[in-house]
Amino acid sequence: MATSLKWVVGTAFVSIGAGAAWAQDAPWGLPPGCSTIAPEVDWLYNFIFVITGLVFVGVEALLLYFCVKYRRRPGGKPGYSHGSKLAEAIWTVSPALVLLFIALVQLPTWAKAKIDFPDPTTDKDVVVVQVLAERFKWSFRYPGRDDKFFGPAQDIRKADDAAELDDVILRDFKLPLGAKAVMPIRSIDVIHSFSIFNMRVKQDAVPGLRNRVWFQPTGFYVAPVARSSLWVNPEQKFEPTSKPAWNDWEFIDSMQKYAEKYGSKSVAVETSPSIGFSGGAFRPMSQQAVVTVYRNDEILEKRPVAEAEYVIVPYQVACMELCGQGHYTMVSSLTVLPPKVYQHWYEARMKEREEFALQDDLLNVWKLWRD
Amino acid sequence: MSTEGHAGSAHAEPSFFRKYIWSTNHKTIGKQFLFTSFIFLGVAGFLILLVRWNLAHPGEPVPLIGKLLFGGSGAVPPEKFIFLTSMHGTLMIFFVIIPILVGAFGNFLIPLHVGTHDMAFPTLNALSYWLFWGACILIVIGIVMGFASPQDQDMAGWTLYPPLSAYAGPVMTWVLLAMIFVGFSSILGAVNYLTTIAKMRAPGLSWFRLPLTTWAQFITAVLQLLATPVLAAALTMLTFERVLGMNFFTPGGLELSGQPVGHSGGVPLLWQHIFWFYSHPAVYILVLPAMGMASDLLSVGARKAIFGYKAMVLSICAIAGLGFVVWAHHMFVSGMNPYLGMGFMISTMLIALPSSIKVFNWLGTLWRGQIRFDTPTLNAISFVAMFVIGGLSGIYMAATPVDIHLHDTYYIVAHFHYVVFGGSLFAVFGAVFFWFPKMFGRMMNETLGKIHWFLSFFFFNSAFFIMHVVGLAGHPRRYASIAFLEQTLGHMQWMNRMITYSAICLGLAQLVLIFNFFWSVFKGKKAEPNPWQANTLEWTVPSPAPEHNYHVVPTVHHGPYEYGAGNGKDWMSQVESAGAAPSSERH
Repeated sequence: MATSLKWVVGTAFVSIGAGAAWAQDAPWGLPPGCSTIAPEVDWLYNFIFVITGLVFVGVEALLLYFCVKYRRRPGGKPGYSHGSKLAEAIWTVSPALVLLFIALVQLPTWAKAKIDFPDPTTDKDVVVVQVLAERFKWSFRYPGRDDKFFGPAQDIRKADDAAELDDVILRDFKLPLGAKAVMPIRSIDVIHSFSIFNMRVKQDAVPGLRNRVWFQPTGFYVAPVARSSLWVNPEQKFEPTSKPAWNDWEFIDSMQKYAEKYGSKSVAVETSPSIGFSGGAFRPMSQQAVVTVYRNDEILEKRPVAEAEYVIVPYQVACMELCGQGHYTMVSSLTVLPPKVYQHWYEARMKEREEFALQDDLLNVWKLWRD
Repeated sequence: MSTEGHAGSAHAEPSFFRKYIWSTNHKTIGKQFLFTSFIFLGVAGFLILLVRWNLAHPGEPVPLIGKLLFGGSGAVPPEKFIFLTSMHGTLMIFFVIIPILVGAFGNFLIPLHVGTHDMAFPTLNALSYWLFWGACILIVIGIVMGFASPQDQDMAGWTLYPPLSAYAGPVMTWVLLAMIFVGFSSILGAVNYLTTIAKMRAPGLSWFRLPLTTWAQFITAVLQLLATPVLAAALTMLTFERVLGMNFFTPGGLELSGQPVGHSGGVPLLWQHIFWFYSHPAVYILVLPAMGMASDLLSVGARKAIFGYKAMVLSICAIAGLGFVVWAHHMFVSGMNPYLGMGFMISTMLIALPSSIKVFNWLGTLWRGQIRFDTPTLNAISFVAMFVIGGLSGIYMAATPVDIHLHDTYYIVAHFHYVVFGGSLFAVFGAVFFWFPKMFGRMMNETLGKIHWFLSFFFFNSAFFIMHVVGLAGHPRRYASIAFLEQTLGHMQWMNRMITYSAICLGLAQLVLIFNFFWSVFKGKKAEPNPWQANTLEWTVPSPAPEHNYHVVPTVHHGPYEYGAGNGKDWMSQVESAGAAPSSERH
């Protein structure tokens, strides 16, 4: 017992040390984890990797060794044995202990991910963003000026005059650095699955079911903008690259670090529709495109795309549950922004809502939201 | 249920039609299942190669056959993708693996292994095959419709999750009806297997003298009898929802493409619970018979008794029992209560235990053996090697927080292909070689067999191992291409191409098997009664096995694994009553 415990603890210790390197050593491991839950998930992954790796190497090596050692020889005689109770007891009890340990060690992480949600009423860091899935699009709702979602379901269904709706509804979503996102999830047609790879987030959107998910991003990537324009047709072909793009990008996990590295640089704070990703880099979609640029703590709107030296990288959001023929196109994004930029962006979206009514396609699907 | 009056040679030779087509003989029905499933193995493999082509070269024409199949430029249209991948899964599970393992080898081997003339209910057995034929006709209609019609091809994956499956095109109804037929075929087969094994064992053949192949078939039949009716109920509910407008799985207030859906009051998760309550045991239906056959092949190949026979039997029983309480581990991110997820996580960890016991016992069987590297043994050893990988990768998914990331990615695809292809199908390859002489009276060609084994083993691994890597990065299942996820996954495209090229080679390698099979049926070396020097009862009769198996009902004196007992030769048939016969009990 003592030996096996020592072995388990020792393995755990080794895996903690080697953890980050293995889990996120792209292209062979997990994509970079950029949320508070990610290190725990990745540690667990690494821990299981060590254990299963040892068993894998051990069993396959033994199998190979037996195949060589006990190959048929002329005149050879096989041993006669129906088994050994002791050996069987050993290889029943030891995997049982290891499996039990894995079962117990993961419980706190699971609870953190799916059970212990931060409370929006008491936790000031919480940003509630509702997610609605339809074939084959995502949309996201912020509460808007009154800081309240549009009241009970009946009200929004009666909202014939779309102008009275102050909620901000968009096809992608943004969060301020440091925020905890609490996201109720609904679907209006079939089952979808809301997934953000880098956040280690996945939750099905099931019609008729009130699902939700929460996570806290730890930072964002800043990438240089390539000067050559985007030319490929994203519907059809793309140019594969040999290494993950984020290997060349800088991860920013605090505003101090951001100020040191990019404070005086021209950083575009949103991509679509001005800047697209192709051939391993972000490129202007056209020379006429305009972007919002963050430089010297100032936010400059509608600047020519040529001005942007860097861009804040959005995290990709994908549908992971088969939802029909366009399933593979059901992709959106989350952009984590410096808090000041986020406030500016949110203010602009609320103002936009005051001036222009919500588009019919969005209003019509959001009338189906059920609280 | 006496077996005394059935000494076969007294019967007149039946007509060609009675003998080969409308037969009630278990061996003929087994071969019929084998041929039918092999045809669908080819079809399902071909469908997935089209899918793989589009993943490697999105929007590019399929070489040679693209224009013929899809018209236009010859590229796989994105809207065909779901049809192709759903049909691949449905065919492979319900029309290939289950019918080969249970229908073909169960039918062929059970009466031979228990020492009787035929199944307990031969007519019911024939009915089971002809119901399967009904299913084949229905699914072929579905396949043809899917290729022919642009509107009708929508499907919902092999898991058929509603509401998508409730809305999907007419192909879906044909598939549902086909699966209902397969289900009834399975249930009838299971009744037959259970009765035959329980009541018709030869004198002296106690439960713990049964070969593991037959033990696995027995437990599989229990699983089928208990689980398949649940699937049949679910399929019937879904069919009624689609055809008769009933409501089980679709809640109210939904809209599809702007149109209100005329359903209300259903619950989508209900389907997932019912479906996986069947389909998780079905995963074990897909592998338990393969485990049984691989055990026998290993023991014969290594000239060693099975290490821990009783532990092997008990672990089959444990897998089957626990298999009924792990189903919701497919639903960790579905919105099911997360506390429920914890319970299913623990039961899932438990079920890894009997599988690991089996692996260690297979190693123990090889230990101190005299391993003969003929084709059946090579395939059986490959089964163990691949099943280890499939089993270990399952632990990642059982760990709920890791599953959040891995769920519905290619990691899952890699995992279950290591179990079902690397495991079950390699055991099937071995079993086809091993029992071919008893089926057709001739030997398959060893050289071609080894070439086929090597090519399959090599290309299987180069296709599927790398899927773990793309899955870890997040590559979703059932995506027509990753063009829209280029920022996250673009650097994996070379791996996608490598998988595709390997899969094509893997498909081509099966031509060697097909050639070897048919060439050997007609031109193979004539087989002796017992070419492998094996102990079980089927090797005491001539090859091929005669119409009614045994002239005289055999009397069994000991267990099936008395190899290397030191009686002058390294094997001892179950019917030998050598005075110094060791006890079949474990030491």
